[in-house]
Amino acid sequence: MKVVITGVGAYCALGENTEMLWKAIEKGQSGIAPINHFNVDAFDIQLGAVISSSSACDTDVQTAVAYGRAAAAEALENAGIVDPSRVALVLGTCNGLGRKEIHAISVDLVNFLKLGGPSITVSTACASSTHAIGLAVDMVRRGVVEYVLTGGVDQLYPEIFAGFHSLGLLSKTPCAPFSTVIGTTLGEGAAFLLLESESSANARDVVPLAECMGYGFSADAFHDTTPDPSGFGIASALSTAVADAGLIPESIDYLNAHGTGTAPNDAAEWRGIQSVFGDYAGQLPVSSSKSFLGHAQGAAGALEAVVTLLAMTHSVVPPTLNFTEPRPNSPTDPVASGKPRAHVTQHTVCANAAFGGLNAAVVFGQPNGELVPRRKLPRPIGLIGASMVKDCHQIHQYVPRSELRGLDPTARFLASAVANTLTDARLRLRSLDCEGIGLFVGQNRPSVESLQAFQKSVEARGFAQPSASAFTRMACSYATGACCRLFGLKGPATTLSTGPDSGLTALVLAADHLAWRDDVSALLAAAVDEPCEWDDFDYDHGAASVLLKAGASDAPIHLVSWALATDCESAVERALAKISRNREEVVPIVVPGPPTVTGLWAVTAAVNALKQGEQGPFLISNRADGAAGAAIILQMENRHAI
Amino acid sequence: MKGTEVGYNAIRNSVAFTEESDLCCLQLTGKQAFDVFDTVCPCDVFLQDGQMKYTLLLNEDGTPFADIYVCRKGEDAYLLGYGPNVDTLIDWITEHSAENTDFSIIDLSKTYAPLALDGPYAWELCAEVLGPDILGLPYLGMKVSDEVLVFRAGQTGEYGYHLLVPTDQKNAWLEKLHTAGSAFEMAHANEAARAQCALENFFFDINREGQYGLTPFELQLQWRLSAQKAAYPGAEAIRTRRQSGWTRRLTCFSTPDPVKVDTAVVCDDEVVGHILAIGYSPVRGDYVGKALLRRPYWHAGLDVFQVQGCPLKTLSPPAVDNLSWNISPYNDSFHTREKENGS
Amino acid sequence: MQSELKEKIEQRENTYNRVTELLISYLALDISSEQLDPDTPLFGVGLEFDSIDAIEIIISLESEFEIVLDDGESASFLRTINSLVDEVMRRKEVELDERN
Repeated sequence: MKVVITGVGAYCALGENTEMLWKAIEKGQSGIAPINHFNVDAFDIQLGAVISSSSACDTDVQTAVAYGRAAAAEALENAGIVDPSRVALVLGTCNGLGRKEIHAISVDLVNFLKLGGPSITVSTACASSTHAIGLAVDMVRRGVVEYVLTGGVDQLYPEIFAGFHSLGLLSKTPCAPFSTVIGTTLGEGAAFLLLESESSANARDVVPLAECMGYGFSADAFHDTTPDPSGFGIASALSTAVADAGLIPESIDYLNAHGTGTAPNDAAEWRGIQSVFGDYAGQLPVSSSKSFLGHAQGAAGALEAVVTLLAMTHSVVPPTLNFTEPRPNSPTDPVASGKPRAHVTQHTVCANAAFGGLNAAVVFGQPNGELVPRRKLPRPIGLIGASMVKDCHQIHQYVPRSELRGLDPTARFLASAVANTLTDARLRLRSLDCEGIGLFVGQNRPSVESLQAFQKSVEARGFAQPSASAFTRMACSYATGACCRLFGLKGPATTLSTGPDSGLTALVLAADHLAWRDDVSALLAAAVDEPCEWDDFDYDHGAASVLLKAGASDAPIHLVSWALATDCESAVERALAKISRNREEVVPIVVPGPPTVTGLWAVTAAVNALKQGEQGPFLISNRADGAAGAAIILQMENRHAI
Repeated sequence: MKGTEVGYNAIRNSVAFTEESDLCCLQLTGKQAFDVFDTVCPCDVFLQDGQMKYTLLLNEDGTPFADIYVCRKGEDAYLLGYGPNVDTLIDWITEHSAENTDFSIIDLSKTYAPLALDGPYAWELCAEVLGPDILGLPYLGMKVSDEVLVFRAGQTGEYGYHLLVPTDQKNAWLEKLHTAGSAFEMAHANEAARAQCALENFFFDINREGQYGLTPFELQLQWRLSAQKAAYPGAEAIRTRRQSGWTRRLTCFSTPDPVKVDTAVVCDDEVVGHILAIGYSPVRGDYVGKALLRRPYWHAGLDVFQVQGCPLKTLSPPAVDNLSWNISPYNDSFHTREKENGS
Repeated sequence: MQSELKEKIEQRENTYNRVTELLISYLALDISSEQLDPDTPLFGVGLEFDSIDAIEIIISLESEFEIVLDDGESASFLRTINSLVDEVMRRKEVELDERN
């Protein structure tokens, strides 16, 4: 099946829609200017690519919501979707509406646009929307829903500006990725793509803009904030994406780089590009749209994807603005120019990387490309390790204290569960066996302790001197990245912040990824909750994780079916239908709702029950009024292939 | 002395090259290779792929037996060490490997020749001979490049690389290094030049202060030990010393005159310690060394001592400003250094 | 011991103790002050701090000792605990001189 893009929408510093965005790119007009929508007097750097307050967006709702509504509505309209009931949403956002409500924008978009499909929120800092696009591609491939609206939204909040400033990452002049000016410039906005299958587009008589050919995720497992200088992580995401698209590196005609402008990112990224493309890297145009858009955090990937797609349709490649002299060891062809360069591209790739070393890349192709053959049958999935923890100090049994410095409770909980699970599966931490494993985490918000530490530092010292280390832990994906580092996990990794059902959703997406893709053979699905005084109810907190292995026919416990749907009932029906069972033949366990971790706690309880000789099969589903219904079926042996 | 100074200047200002005859290079293979590391090392052996760690091997009395790095590359375990000769080191490890049996030790010095590059531009020369991937190698990182095992570590305070080149390619690599090195004003550094740089940067020298029966506490090497680990050779002595405390500490000093090792350090006519190591620092123009001083005289920043009637003051190492500290592969180059320093 | 010398040593010791306590609490070191040696390297080896820790060190020293460290001069004092103590004492002295 071909997944095609039939609509795009954008709302950013370059304009209120994709047409304005593209006009600005064509003119070489940057969105970077002095910030005036919040007070930046305390800082020595005052630039940003921000949306002017006089813009036409709805002022009755919160700003980030307004950005999201505008861009999403444009994408739907652009694609000619009249019935939104069959549209799912996969949104990437770093900040949501403030860190306490990462998925609040998704909730609003579903209601406002009357989207009828499941909605998933991904929060992996600066790679959020690239991860979102990847997961959306798979949802179309799997036929979960007919259309998927995917993209990213992020607003530049004062505390984000303050955090980047405290890290010393901001440039005094507009950022010039790969050139002599070092540092980044922040941005904001929203962008969306509407994905559907080629046959669906044909049936609607819609000409696709492009094909979304494949994607790749990876983890650096190097450091909680610094990218792996060898570029291994970004290289792994790029090569996985290219392979998923059924291509070889030499068939890529343009690369839209993460290119933040900071020294460590740009150097590592170019090194990664060189290791994938070899000598061909010298001929490959590599530019960064952040010179136009600033670094729009969680929306960056989607905005850059839109720029890339528009460039493809105009037979040009977008330039890197502000480029003077090249930095040592930077792209041979950074498209250093004030204007786009005429260049026909058949295949392009967009890459993004997040704090904590979570990387993602997406490959686009012209819509006339050949059909890439794909796996016809899913691989069977064994469950080879499981653990639930309620005590975050368990991590000390596995990891020396010096490696745990600065880890917040959320990361310690998650690491405890993951270490238990890997050990349960008889794997040695940080061994070669761990290297291939990925990690999908369901986590509703960043660590409350880290959020409070940041807040306290702002109260004590003002916006000019917040705690840099607390800031780096404020990304929802911090714990995911830290676990990848602690245990040497370099496979696909992402963080879902999708509401109370995040844990089961992570498990279903992990199972799907593993069953149908060949880039990884074992994936951890995990969920974590840190206690929080804001919650109006009292519940247990902790973490849980399970290790899934593809093709593990000798595993005692099998994940025989899984499904994602708009509501839980439909998910249950789908999961049962896949293995031709009815409700009487399974033992149902309905997860009572929040917290996030209860879904995977129920799964680990079912695993223990099976191990102790109970018959099963167990059907675990969430009951939550959450964003997506998820259901899985576990049994002792693989009697029913799906 | 001339040769030493040429090498010293190269280490401090450009890049210096050394054939490391005293470096023991071992590879441990087998399922229990890392268990062996964990059994014999006083540090936490929890290495990421391609990561090295500085530690020690300790005698039962807690004094250093060897000054080592341990390293993981994939499932391979490497150990680079100074102190004992390679056979003694292998015997010691085997003897202390406890119940671990599924491992074997390969002496890499039979198949590899250890070379070292040190200096503020060592990274640039390395990248030129081994390819730009070397620039992505973090400090205390290891990678295999072109059959060469590259360990990024040094004991001079400047960028440093240990290169293990296949013995049969040694001459070819030497030639390559010299050809490329001439553009970097590369010079040969002898052991004395490297030792002086190590001294100025307060690196532990097992053949110097390591010979006085001191434990990691007096040597200020607690960071090489795990704060929690309970079982390893010497653990009992370390535990006892940690509890009882220690009253002497190795402290960095400078003095304008050459003084002999073992000379008493005096304060207020009272002997408060002794000199364990000293050497002339061309950058500073005076003598830098390490003295073993007793509490409470063991602090840095005191200019209250005499040695053979000359003034001696304690200081915080490094005793020199390392050029490498301000040089970054991201935006510097040996070839444009004049311009950069001028601007 | 002469009282002047005693005072000098005490002053050094006090500043050193304050700096170590600060590092332990601000940088969440899971060890006691006795387990830290004054010439322990801060970056790369030793305490294995990173660039973000460097920012925290500067901010915490500035607020604890009421000095300004981040004034555009080279940050070469970020080498060991002892070199931090040196810098704090130097800055305090400069400040004292300026006040007199």
